Amino acid sequence: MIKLSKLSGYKDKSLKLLSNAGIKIGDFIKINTKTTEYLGNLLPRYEYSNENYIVIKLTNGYNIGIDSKRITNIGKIKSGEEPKFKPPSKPNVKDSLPKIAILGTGGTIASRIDYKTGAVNPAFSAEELYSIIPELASYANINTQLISNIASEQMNPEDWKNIANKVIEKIKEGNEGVIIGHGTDTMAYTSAALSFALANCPIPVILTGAQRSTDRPSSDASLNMISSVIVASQKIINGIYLAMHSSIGDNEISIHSGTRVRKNHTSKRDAFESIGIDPIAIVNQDKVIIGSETAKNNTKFEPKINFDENIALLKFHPGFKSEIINAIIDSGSKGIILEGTGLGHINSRCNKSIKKAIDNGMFVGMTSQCLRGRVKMTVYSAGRNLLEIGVTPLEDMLPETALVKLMWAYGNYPNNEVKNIMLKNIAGEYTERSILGR
Amino acid sequence: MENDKNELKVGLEIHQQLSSSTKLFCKCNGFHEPGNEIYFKRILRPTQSELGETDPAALFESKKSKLMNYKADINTSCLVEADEEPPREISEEALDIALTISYLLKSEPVDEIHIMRKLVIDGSNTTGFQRTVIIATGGELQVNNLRIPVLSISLEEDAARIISKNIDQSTYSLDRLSIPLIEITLAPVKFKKGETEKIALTLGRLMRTTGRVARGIGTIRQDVNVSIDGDNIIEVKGVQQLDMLTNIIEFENQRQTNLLKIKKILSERGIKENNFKAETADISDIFNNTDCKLIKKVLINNGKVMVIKAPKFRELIGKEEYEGTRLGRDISTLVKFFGYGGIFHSDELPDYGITKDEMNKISTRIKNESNDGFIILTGDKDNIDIAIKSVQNRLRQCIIGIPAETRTPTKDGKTNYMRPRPGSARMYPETDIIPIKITDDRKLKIKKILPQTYEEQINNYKNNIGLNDKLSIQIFDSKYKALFEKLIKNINLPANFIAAQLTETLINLSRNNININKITNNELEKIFKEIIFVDDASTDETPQLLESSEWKEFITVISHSENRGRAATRNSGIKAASGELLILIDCDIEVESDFISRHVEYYKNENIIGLVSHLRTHDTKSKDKYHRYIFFGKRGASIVGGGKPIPFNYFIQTCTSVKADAINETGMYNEELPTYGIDLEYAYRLWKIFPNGLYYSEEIIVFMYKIKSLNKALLDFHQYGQYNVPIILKEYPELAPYMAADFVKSINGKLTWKIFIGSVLINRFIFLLARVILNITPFPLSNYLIRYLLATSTAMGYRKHLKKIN
Repeated sequence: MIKLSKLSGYKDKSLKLLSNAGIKIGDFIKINTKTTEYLGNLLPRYEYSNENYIVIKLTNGYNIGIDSKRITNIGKIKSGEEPKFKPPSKPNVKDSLPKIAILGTGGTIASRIDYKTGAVNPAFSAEELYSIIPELASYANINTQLISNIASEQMNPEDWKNIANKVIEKIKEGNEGVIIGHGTDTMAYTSAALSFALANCPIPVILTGAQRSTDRPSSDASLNMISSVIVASQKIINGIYLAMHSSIGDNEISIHSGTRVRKNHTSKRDAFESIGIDPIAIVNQDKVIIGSETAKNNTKFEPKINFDENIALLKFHPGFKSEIINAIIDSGSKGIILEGTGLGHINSRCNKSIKKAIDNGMFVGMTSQCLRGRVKMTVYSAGRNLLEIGVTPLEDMLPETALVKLMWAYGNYPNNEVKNIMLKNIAGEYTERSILGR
Repeated sequence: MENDKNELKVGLEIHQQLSSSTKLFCKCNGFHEPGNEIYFKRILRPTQSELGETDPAALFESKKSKLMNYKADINTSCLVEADEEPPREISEEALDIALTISYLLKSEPVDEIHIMRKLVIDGSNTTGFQRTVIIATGGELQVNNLRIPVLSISLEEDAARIISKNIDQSTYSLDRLSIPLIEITLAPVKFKKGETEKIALTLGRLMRTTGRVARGIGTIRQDVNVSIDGDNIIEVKGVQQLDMLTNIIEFENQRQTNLLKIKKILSERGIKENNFKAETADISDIFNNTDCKLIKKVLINNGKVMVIKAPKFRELIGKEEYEGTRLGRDISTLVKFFGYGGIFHSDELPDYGITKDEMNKISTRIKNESNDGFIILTGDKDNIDIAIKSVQNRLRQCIIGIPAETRTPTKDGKTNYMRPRPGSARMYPETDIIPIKITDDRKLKIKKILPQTYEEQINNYKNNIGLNDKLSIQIFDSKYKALFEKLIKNINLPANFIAAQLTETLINLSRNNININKITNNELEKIFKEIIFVDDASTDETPQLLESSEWKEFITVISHSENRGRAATRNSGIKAASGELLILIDCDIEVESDFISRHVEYYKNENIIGLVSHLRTHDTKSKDKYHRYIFFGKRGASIVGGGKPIPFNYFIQTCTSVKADAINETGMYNEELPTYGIDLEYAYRLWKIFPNGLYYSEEIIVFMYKIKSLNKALLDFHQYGQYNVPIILKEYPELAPYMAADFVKSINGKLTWKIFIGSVLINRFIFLLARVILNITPFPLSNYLIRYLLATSTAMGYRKHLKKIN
């Protein structure tokens, strides 16, 4: 929430003008220029601008910026009021409904708008979520916790570990499902990380987010959240999933496997796609339609939540310099995931450096930048030569998933076990069959 | 004015689409031809405000269902309109137009513009908000001696076009969404009859001086704010016709006056806000055996009948001093929003099958006293509580007076309740786009090229460009103003000609159900440009005339270095033409200004592939018998008349349109034929492919101004017989009867009566005799002689040819 006391964002001339006139953010003020008089409430100046403009909200609701150089007179008419937020009360939710935890990692699942300042404030308490998305009350007893407040591109493997720890805590508290609100940029990395760290998780853990900000009436957040809660509350699947729109309309939500999902569009609601497999389930209205391949997993749940950051993901391209590989070796990295061309190739002038990496004990795995399909390195000599050097083909594992898995493997297993772990299907990262039509 | 205490004030808010090449926040053009369609569904949720539900409009909308169907097509909208991509930068072009209009209104641009989101959750915006930005404040509009202050000028996205709306869901098309609109808000001024229209017209024309505003239905909308008590403003949204303004304002004046009277009476009857209580009761049981068909039907369908007490409202709900202003009507429209057909109220009962006895039972049930009234609401159970609440609210508002609300105009100049008036509360910044500084450089640049005023431009059209008065105003008001000015600058055609084509011709076409909106400016430009002049090595001054003429840039000239004849000349023109319809005009033909459009009109009949004009001479009193034969006798196509196919031998091509497709199929003119005969031969080829495609128009009259003499004609026909007929006959012997050749030579080897007649009549002595007799033969008898002479001349030519080859 914006504090009205500080003249946040204002600098130099405009700051001087405002503080000399005793004006604070939110005050109703009058500004005169040679030609015009403006009346409105002073708004904070956003940080991206360093020029001397004073921003006010006119009485008709519009914001304008006035060049402080043109101001001939400025004065306060009356003090602003602090926005009063009356938190909503908790609705009646049946105790018989399943207990679901909603974790916030940053970004917003729901928000409130302060029309006076234009500020968008996150709404995250269970009460607020119920009041903004009233449908939730008919599916689950929710409890919420904000565990971090960072944009998803700022996340590091350390944060995955925190999230994994929180999920374990929530399982211990008796929750029957956990929903994680997550920024969409790196959500698929996190879903892969949790898939390995929490392999054989006994309850559904569903990551979800929004491609359209939650302050707009058209946001996809609510439907994503409702569908996630529906899936979690039905106790029909367990494991790590990612729930987002199936299409640009508000009809269906796809439940993707945590290791086979990828963000394939910068802005569309249906940016997330399952690669090489169908979504695990589809949520339409309040119906969950489960795909054929899922069965409840009853293997023992033994979380391994460490990650080693010293892994590189290299995308090969024409003109790729072997020096980059050398630099990675010198930086102390423990492993490299290559994103090769086609069936898993790179230019042979890099082979020497690759060999050096493997000789140094590094794991070097091959994935394909085609994203769809499997690497097969015995078809052409370029591939065979790499196999001979010791590059490990990683079948149809997605490059990002392979990166996360290698971080996890080095984080939890001795070096000599890494290769075996990498080749073992731990969380559905490999598909057995290359399915027609995908 | 009826009310002396209150002053009727009217403020105008004008929304005008700008004709910028892109939408406001993406690179689409909403006016383009639609492409493949994509459909999707969305649900809009009202966002929560910091202060809870403060906004009555949002609250109202949130009560209604919010499932939206959207129709998008891939040409006129993109991911931005579908709310699948953040907005691109604001259209600089639209911003410049808005700034230009601001300066024309002496309005002061703001230093830094901040794009705002105004919440609109009726679905007309996929985002749930409309992007809008204040560009300038202050200024004035001068209308004669009146100065109307300008409050603000903003630039905003147009809403999506509604296709259908019902209680559960609405369908919108995205083509119009985000087309830039300029919104000009004028200060309310005292109403004077007829003045509001003048203000709107003046403002419309001021915007049109830029030549950058869209024209046509739906491109300009007036909102009119009417208030008689100075406090509560009624906004009438979306008045499209200027001539309705006065009616609407006067209706509102009466309606609001009526409400003030109701308020006064209620206060006299002792009802106040704090003792107002509109109890309700379920009265379904009263109607178990009712004669009211409507209520019967509701009860059969498991509906409900509810009554709402209207304390002290007796005779006020039905009070109507001016048609349509009664309170009952407003309450009725109100409940329709929740899916109810309407109401019954105590002032109109007993009626509609509701009896006095049933009325008494109702009054007893809600303990009505003599001054009390009631309202019956009947229908589905689901939404009835919300509807009842809204009726109670509406009754309560009568104690306060006039509720501020948004109303919608009806076709007959009344207004209907639409929704509560939105507060300023529901705006917040568009965070996807950073604020934009309006630099001094930009301001200066715009100020330097401000358009002239309406009066100056009209004077310029008249005095400098030479347009007549009518066309000056027509072209100024038309959507082709900018195109006209471009054409005038670039192609130097007579101004009246261009203006007439862009106004009258296009209006004519649209009256004939041709969708002229599909014709792009580029295509129009091309029409003016594609006049092809083929100079077949003419020996007169034509080339010099063309070179020095103001038409020069406008006409494509093709020059033959040597005289190659009419067939080659036409072929050159055909090869150069790119249109769908080619009009061939010989150099001695004069046409009228609507000639092209009239030809085009005919082709709505899809059977037609070629159309002959009606050839006349200016010299209507000519005594020359040959001229009278050609122009005033019934001959050729005029025998058949218009409206049905004509035979090929009547399809002469001196001034004739032919579909390019038909020419493509038929091929070129036969260049072996030097003079006459090319028309017959070509028409025959056309006719063989399109036997019912050749038509004649009696209405499209063209004039031949250089008419040859009979002597010259006879000479020409003689040559035609000698040189052309043999060529044609070689390919098409069946054409012999059409060229009088069957009088000279047997076509199928048999001796016919024609050969016999020919051997007698085709002889030099009779021919000369006929020429002499012609002088004393009166018209129209002379026509027979002329026909004989022309045929004989051809036949003699052909005979000469036959002699030569033997």
